[in-house]
Amino acid sequence: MLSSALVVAADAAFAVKSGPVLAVWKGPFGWSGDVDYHGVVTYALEIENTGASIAQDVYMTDVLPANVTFGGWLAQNEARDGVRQRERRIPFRGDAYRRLR
Amino acid sequence: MSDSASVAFRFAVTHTGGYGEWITNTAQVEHWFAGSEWYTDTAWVKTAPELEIRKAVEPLGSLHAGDLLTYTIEIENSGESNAVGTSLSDTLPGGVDFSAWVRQNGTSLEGGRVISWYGSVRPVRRRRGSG
Repeated sequence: MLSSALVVAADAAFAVKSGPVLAVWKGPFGWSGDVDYHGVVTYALEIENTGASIAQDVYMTDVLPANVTFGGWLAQNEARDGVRQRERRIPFRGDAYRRLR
Repeated sequence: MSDSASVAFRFAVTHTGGYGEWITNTAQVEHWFAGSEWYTDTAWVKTAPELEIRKAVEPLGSLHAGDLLTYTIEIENSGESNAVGTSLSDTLPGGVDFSAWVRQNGTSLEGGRVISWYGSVRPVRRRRGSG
């Protein structure tokens, strides 16, 4: 009795994604020049991920300087549940997705 | 959270400190793989208004009875901030009577002898960094 076996072999290569690359940017928004005495300054704060992977569990904090008071949010992004003003600290904990290419 | 490359926030703060100081604010982001990144922003709070008053009279020299004297009063702000709520008063000396305004510019005459003005004096100094 003859028997035959068919063997199929295949190779596959996978590249492991490079890690996330994070940068934080902060600056006055829609305003240029010096601040008026007891004036209002609007800050824009951005965490950017230029890497290839999602940066999960990112922790960001911004401590307000002594000579200002928090005036309110203009944009909390979609992380509003994770962003709170607490003891003059503005903390955020969440994920920063990779830049779409 | 959407599949976005960045997470952005915007918030407002109100300055509560003094004139002529820096507001320095640092944000820090941390990740177990990517490490830590800082970004520091500084903003300058304008210095206080610095007022100077100048007064000139014409003509110079000796006068005859009945001659007209023209006084020019100028207030200059050499600080960086607006001088809001500035008041000026000038009481006419004895021996003269008010005659007429040459340039009134918001001033008024009170009781026939006191020139008064109230308003804001904008700074003449250029903004820092504007050359």
